Amino acid sequence: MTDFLIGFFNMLLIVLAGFSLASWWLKDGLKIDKTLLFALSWVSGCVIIAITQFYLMLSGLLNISIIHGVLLLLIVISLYNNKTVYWAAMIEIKQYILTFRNFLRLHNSLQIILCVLILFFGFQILVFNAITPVWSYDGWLIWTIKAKLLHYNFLDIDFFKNKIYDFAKLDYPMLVPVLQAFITKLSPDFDERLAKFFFNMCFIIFGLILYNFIRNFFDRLFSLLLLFAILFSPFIVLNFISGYADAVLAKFYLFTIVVFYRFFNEKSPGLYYYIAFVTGFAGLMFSKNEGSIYVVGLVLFSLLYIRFYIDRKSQHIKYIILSAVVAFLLYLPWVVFIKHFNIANEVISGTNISLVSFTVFLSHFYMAAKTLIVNVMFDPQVSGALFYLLPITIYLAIQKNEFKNIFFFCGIFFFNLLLLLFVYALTPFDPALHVVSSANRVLMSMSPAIICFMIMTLSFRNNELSEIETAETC
Amino acid sequence: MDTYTANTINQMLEQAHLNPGVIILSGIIIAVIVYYYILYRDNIDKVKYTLICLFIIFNIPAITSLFTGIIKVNTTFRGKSYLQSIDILETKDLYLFYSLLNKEISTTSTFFVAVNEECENNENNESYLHRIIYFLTPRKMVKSVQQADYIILIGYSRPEIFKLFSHTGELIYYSPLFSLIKRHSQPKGARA
Repeated sequence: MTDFLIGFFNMLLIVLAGFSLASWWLKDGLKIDKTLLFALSWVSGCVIIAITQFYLMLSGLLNISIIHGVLLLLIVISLYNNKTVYWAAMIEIKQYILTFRNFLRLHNSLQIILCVLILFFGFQILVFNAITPVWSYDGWLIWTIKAKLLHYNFLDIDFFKNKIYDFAKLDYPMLVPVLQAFITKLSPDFDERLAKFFFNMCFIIFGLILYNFIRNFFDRLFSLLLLFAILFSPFIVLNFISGYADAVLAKFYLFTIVVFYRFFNEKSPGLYYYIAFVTGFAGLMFSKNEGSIYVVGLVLFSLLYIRFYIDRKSQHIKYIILSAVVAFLLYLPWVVFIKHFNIANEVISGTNISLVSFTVFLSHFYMAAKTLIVNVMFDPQVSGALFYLLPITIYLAIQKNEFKNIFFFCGIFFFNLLLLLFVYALTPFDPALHVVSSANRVLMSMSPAIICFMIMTLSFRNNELSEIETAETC
Repeated sequence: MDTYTANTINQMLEQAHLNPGVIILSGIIIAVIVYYYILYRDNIDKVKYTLICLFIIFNIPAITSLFTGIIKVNTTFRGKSYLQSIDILETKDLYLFYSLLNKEISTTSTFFVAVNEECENNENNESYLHRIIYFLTPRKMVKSVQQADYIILIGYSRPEIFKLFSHTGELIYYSPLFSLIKRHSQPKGARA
């Protein structure tokens, strides 16, 4: 019970730290969507804490508990300077509670049944994470071991140079272990089950952002139904309960894509987008190496999208480039650190990539693509029916001339998929085994792009009705 | 690759097949779909609606089987301590060894792990090695026998241990898979 309270307190601290940062940018009040503001607070909190802790640790200055004091100070200063924003947030929370009460009282039974169903299934996931230790190989030996060392203040530069720990993939970014350690820090002993609380919160945020996005295109009843079918798909759930960093990556990716969707529709974007993009990009890069590829795809395709489909180009371009540069500057010390200490890259360690000849590359590429499509994408036990729907959705989008959505959302998805296949083909491992053992995680982390695309394209209500209904709250 | 971790959980998650849960859940979902159609049939694009409904219905068996497994796991693990949870997850051998290590080696002691490369079970040994390192963290793992308070052996037979390690210390636990030797001369900080 005490551990549970510690975990809850630390997660609250992450949200408040993020909100204190966001509140500097929102001095005029809460003008953005409240669910996205909550997600932004969590995402920014994660990024601030991860980056600060990690660099203090490398500089050798950190007794990691100090971070709690510093954060509380930051929150108090921010509260003192931005009382209006905090006050507005409190009123919003109160309204949310009232709306929920009204919702239970007034709406039809099918909506309530669906809500109960979602809460029951969600609760099972939260319980699973709270009572089972980390059980996946990568979860233990890549992510949680670093969190455990960090918890006992044993993770320092020597750790990264120590060959004994090579199995822990030392070149992988540190956001997940650092935050797991943050959540367990006030507890005397490290307990993996408490560390897994982090994934619970990520799952909740993932669900909230997804619902918020679906709600733009469907009414409440159908949004709940769609949320249920997507959120509890096996490949999403299995990643959130296994302790893989890919689940965290997926949450950052979904957040960034949803922010992009809103950003493209804004005529004069507010300062909110700077902080959302910077923390979204930085979160992606600090979560996993694949995150950097996602950021490249997002920046590249968003710039092209603005070039082709948006009138007021310069302002939008400025937002994206500046945010990407700031995020990269935050990430740069980690890259320098990895290069400086020559920390091995696990994918190519001990193997010269040039040895994979062009013929071998082609056969690997074919095998990887075949296995990925047959055994992962179109296996209903893995991804549900998500990928069956994709080709039909693209066909419908072409019919309706929605090329801009295809260009951005499918563009980033296929860009990432192609790069993933290149990685599988370039590495010396058996491509079929490599794909089967890891592809569903990577595919899950890149799936938010096509989930959003399908939701947008398959919105089946006529415009008048949609406008009336999306005006409803909750 | 790992051969046994998570296999237990994976099996638990995968063993659930078509069951009453699917029927109940399908009933609820189909009720919502039909109700929704009756309510808004004039305002919806029927092709898109059919597609989404097919997607939702197609997902139900996978979701139900997954959650039957999850609920089963939640019931199995309820109220278990961390070590007991490991007992469920891992082989009995490893669990007994974990318990022993936890009891025997103080957090300030150092340890050295030797893996028998020629052992038949070699594929799993690396995985055992990583787990033991993980489990014993924050106890310090050292690179040589001389620096260690304890020596952990993976995959050594009794004659091999006698031949190679008998001079280093006292054998306090033996199984064909795992063995533990307490070194004779213990550096400062080790628990007696």
